[in-house]
Amino acid sequence: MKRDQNADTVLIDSPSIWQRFVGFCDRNASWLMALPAMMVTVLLMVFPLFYLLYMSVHDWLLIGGKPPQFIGFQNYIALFQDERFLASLWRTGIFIVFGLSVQIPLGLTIAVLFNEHFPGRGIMRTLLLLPMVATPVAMALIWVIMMDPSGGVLNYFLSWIGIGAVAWLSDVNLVIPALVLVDTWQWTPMVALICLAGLSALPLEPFEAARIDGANVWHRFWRLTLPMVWPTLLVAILFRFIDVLKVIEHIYVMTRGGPGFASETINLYNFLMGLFYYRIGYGSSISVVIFALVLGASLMLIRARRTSW
Amino acid sequence: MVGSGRLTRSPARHNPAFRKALLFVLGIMVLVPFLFPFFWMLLGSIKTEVDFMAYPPVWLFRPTIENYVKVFVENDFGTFALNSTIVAAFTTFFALLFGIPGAYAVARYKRTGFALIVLAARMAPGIAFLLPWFVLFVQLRLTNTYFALVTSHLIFTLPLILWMMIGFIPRRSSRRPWSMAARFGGLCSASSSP
Repeated sequence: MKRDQNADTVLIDSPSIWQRFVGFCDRNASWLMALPAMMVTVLLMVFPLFYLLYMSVHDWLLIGGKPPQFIGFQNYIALFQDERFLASLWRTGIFIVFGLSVQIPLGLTIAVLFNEHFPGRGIMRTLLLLPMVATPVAMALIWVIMMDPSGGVLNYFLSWIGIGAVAWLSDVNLVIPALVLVDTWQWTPMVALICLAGLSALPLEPFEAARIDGANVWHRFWRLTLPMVWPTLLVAILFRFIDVLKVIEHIYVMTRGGPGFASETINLYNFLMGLFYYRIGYGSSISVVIFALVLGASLMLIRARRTSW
Repeated sequence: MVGSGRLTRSPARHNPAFRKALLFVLGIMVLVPFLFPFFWMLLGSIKTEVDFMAYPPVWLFRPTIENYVKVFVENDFGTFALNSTIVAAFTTFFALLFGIPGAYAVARYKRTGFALIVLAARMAPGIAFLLPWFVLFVQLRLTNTYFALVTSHLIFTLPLILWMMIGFIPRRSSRRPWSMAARFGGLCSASSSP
């Protein structure tokens, strides 16, 4: 009897190990909850990035069995004397300027159209997103078939308006526009989607006021819609900027950088350097440069979001 | 309506039915180029080799399911589909396992710094992870394993899950009815024990 009472008091005074454990978890939930995700993030993302920096200052060939050798910044110095790299950087710039100047106006126009009310709008909006959700590799293959110079359906359509066979992917001057076309086809829906979100959040009153004051569609677009949707548009521009900077899938499938190096972007050059020539150290230094560029663009994106949203 | 004649020149533009029909046609015109590659893909998949290579392209032809039979019977499509399913299932499972508590910590305990680190990692180009992971996997002899694929997919799935789930978890400042109920029900034993 007495022993039982003792046991009871003991139980109340000092909780069991299990209770202590649960209590500890309960009090420290704020960081315990984040711990698994944090560990995975550090292990999977933060650590590889530091490892990348480490590799980029070494002369490191994955084949041949020669141990990596520390060479300081020589990879970076060599990088900015590498004509193939500079050309790919320039090409990526052209890709960005060309792609964005088509995709942003087109996406905004489509968004303005699908922001109106008309029958079938819902299903049309959904269907418009198909290129975005389809697998890039399969779609790139379809485009290769459609762009075939002798039997492709695109050239067939062009022949209707009297344009002869166009060698889309094997003409040095046409390969970038052709790839931009595919990029535009795939990602303009995303621009339209972002713009639609921005448009549907706009207040209606200014538009009604403008309509009553007699402003026509053209004026309403330039003086009202565009300035009001600009913050959203900026986000779309930056998203596309970052994505085009990283563009690789359909270029790799469609041309592998060819003909010659005419469609080799920095990301593709990086990929080939690392995983085809196994020049790990040099490839890493290209990765670091790309990462720096993307990070700069991302910081601009975060700033733009903070000031506008 | 007073002065409505001043707004538009053509009376047709004021007609809502005409306007809607015009917008509908414009919508279709926008949609056609975006959907054509899918249409061409489907059409090509039921053409014979001869019809597929024909120029000018044939629009009327005898459809065949030969290509589908080839994919499923002659090629190892089942194995590839199974591989993808295994990788997708494990990736989703682990991303949810790590992501949901992480999102809870961000939403409830305002761990915004942590959330931003995860986001920054998400914004890094895939190529920046490709080389380190490739070298590491080669050194650990983990290339050509499901493990390597699942971990590399986690890099992109985990941040997505984490950031999506933040929105679904109520903030701490709300009255937290279910959390209180769980406490009274004895789920969080330390604070409810005497």
